[in-house]
Amino acid sequence: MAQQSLTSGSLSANEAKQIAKLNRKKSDRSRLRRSLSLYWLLIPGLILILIFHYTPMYGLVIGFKKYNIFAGANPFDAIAKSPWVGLANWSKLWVQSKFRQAVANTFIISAMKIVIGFPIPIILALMINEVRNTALKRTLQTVMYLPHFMSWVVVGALFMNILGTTGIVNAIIVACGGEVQKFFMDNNWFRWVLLLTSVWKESGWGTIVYLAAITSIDPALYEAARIDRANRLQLIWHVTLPGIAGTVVMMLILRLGGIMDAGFSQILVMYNSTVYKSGDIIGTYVYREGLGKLNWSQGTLVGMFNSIINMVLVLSGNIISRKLTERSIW
Amino acid sequence: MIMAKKKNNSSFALTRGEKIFEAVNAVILILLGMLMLFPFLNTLAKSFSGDTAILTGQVLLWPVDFQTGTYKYVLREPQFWNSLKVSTFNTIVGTAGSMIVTCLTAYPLSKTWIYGRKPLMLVFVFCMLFSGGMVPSYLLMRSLNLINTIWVLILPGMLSIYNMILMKNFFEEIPEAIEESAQLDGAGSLRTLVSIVLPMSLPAMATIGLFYAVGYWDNYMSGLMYITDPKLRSLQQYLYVLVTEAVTVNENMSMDALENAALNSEAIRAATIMLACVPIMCVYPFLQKYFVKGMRVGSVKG
Amino acid sequence: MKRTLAILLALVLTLSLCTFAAAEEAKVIKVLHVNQSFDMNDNYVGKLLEEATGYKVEYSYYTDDNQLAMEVASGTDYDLITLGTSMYQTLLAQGALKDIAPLLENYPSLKENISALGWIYVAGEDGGIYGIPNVDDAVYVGGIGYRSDIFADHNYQEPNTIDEFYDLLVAIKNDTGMIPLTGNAAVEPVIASAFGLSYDFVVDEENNAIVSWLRLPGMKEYLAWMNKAYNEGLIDIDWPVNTGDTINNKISSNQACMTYAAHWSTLNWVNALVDSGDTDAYFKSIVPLEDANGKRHIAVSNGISRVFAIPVTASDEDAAYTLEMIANRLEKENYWLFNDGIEGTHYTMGEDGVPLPILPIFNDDMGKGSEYQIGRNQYEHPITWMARVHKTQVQWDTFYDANSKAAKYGFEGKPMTFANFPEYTEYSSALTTLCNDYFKQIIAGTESLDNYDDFVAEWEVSGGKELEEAATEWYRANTALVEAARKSTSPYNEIFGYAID
Repeated sequence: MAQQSLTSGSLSANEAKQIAKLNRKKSDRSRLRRSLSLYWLLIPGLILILIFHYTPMYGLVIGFKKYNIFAGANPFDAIAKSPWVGLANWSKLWVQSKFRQAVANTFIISAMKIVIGFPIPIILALMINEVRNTALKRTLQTVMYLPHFMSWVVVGALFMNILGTTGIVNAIIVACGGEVQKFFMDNNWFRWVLLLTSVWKESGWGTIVYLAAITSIDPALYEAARIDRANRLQLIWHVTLPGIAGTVVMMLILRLGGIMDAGFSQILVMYNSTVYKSGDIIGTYVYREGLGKLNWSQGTLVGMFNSIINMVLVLSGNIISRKLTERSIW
Repeated sequence: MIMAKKKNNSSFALTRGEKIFEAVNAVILILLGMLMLFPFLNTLAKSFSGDTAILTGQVLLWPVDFQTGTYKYVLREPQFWNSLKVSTFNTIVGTAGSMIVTCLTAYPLSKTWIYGRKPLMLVFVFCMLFSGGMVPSYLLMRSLNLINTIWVLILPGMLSIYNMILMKNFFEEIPEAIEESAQLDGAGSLRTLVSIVLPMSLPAMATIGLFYAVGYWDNYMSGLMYITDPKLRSLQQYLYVLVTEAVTVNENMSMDALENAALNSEAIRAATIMLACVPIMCVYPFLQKYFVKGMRVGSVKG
Repeated sequence: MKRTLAILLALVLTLSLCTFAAAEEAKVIKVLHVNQSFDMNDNYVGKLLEEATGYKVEYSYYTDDNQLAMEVASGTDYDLITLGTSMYQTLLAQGALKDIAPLLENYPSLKENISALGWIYVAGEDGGIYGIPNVDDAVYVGGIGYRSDIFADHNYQEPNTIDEFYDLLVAIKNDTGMIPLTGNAAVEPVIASAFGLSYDFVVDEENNAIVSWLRLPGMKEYLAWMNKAYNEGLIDIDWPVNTGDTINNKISSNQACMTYAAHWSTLNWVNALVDSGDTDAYFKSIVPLEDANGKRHIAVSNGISRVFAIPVTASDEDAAYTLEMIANRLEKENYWLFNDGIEGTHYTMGEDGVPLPILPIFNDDMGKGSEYQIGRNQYEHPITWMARVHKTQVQWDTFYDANSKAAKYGFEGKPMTFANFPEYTEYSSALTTLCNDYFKQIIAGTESLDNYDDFVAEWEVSGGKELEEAATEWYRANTALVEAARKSTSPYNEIFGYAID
């Protein structure tokens, strides 16, 4: 397959000239013609999202209603029959100091995970890329992405052992003359435990995109830099990093779109009532209070709140990135 | 040709500093790798260990009181085999379908000059971030007669906007000159995509294909919402029920439920976890060859 | 031409045969059941039941209340739905369940086999009957299990008062270096008994009302005591984060000396300890402690665990057939069959009329048998259940030891056992979570008891006040029902030779 593309991909000098010409006079008409020839490829994707994403969006109205699924002949009819309550569902939540605390925690934990956790897969990918022994490189890749497949229930239980009061970490602390640290019951520690475990679990998996991006960097650039007597660190800094910058920016913007999920399944497994102050996030709060249980109105509204903030961050991330780096998702 | 390039690449003599750099780098990565291997090995060891050894916390990286009874038990469970079938079907059919739709969608959007690119992108990004919620989705599936069919596990997630954006980003990196030459040869847009763009995007295809495959394999949420028929449970849904049943023991449970939960030993849970994640983990090594450096650019240069 | 005709004929014949065969087949009863990790359709017990009774029952499963509500609201064709009490109340209030009172008249044995109190629970305000209740017997599950070998070595005695208990904890800590007591319960029943606490809602005789245990002076004393014990290292430092697995681990590896013990947990502990060299390791039980007046408040696990209801959309004919199946399942012979299996194969009858399981076939085949209960036969259930407690000598010893000691003092039945008013359904589980979270914070010292009144205020706002008032109103209207629940006696008292008045 690669062989085929080699031949069809090669350019004759004549063709190259023609392309240059085409590029110069890319008139609006030809642009339109070419756009039209591509639009139809979008049809399957658009149909899918129209049916499965946009059709159910009418359901957002139940966030402003007191929805009772049994109010009508069927759940759909019930949406029409349920009374409007405006923003009452929201104010009921917002007056609770525990909910506001959960919102704050969500932002703090997410911010920690982005600021500290986001660069780590990039660094790991760069490091793996520098390994020359192919066998070692492949083994490392395979090993590092393993934790991604273990569920949080398993990983959480494991870390509770390691970081527990009788775990190995505390044994070392005590051996060094320190005091036993209650990592899972201490509001000063708990967020760092969350950060550490999520970095540990997802960083290896996160390298995949960057490794794929690195493969598409032109080796000629490395050779040129080599000839200029660049050392390894300089190669990384001047060739590899710029080569994957586009991917990095895009991943960061996409990551901003997930800021309101600070790790629901992770925290649900690892937290307990003594660390609600630092570790309770919107998802766990809603879950614990049973708000998600048959209370679809409040659930929908919380979801909408999250979506709006995510949207704002993605949009502004995209704009800032376009201004600063001239790269953007669209 | 790729091999030749590799040799050529490494023919630069390594300086002393570089040797140290490589050694330190390798040591750090090996240490990290060992840390990351730990839970996997731990679960593996537990799945082969005796109940007593697990209970008393003796099992770390190597099985204690080696036994294979747990695997025999799990493999005897008809639910396991049935779920394995469902998951395999989902993953293969779903990934194939998803890759087709994703490439078709990402390709036009990767063209900076296409009319309406920005509004089109917004249409996609919007539904990545907003969803109508549980009830309308359920009603939709019901009116499409998808409830309790295998397609409800495949169709709704067929196009992941996130993966589509990644794909689009990869497509954008391909020099347009090559495609345009094909178009001059009279190839239509679909043919250009299939015969020029895709062969040049193998690392990207491998990445996104992996994401989809893992996504389908790991998905249990749609099963929990739309499936009541035990014949259509996926492996992860089965695992979810098994693990939560054992973990969410609480004071309000009836005595029979408590007793039943106590019967699922940790070794059995560990064995099921292993059996549920090993098949999908085997996909990666097969895809790895597409991550070989320089493949695509090599083809550009001819 | 001839051949085509022949093929056509053959096709028509097979098709008609198929439809004929389908018509002959027994009607399938579709049950929407609580999620199970095993498939009840594929299980040995399911097949055994179908073979013996001829009724074809097909189980589907719902994940949670949300999915259940969506299924029911959008009109399902299930013949029977397994419900928890709160969803039963919700669906009942929405008119989604069928009144089976008129149909039940045709199945007197079904009515007779289930306890009268259970029928009161499922009676609607209009006098109809909306489900088949699973009534849990008032069984005392267990107290704090302690290592009898360690107690013997150090000459410790079973404590009766909270002071004796405190001294015991100190002695264990000093003598053995072990964690004296591990666990994770927000309210540890054995200790709470010393402060007069048994259930979250209790009868206030003076005011003829129902009050939360938050109002009892004992609650603050209990929390203060637990916090003190926690700070002094007398109870596990991991109390708020312990899980079933970590508790099992601490007990089995000699790190902790005591914890809450039920008959299903001690077997693994003893096996593990014996395997690793503590050949004398065994467990006995501490009964809930005396309060200041010398009275013990021993809670039992009575209640309604499930209700099986028929959706309102089902036809009378279908509903009647479903009830026929349930009545059949509750018949003595069949009840024994799916709970304990076949006599001689899965169990033998002991001299005292108690079934003794044959292992390992009982575990392999009948392990999930209890899941097939649709209503409990009040006469047969306590006896069939004995097979499960008799699986091993260790299990039986644990059960017998705990019960024979506790039965002497009499049990307190749960006043709210038959609570079927809407506020109870709406608030009780969220309030329980709220309280347990707060209690654990107090125990670990991350929250101070000085703010107790603030917490009670928060609890009141979160529905506590409303629930308390509704409970009082309901209590005044249903005093007899509450009194009956409070006086529930364990069906096993006879076995232990105690008669409680």
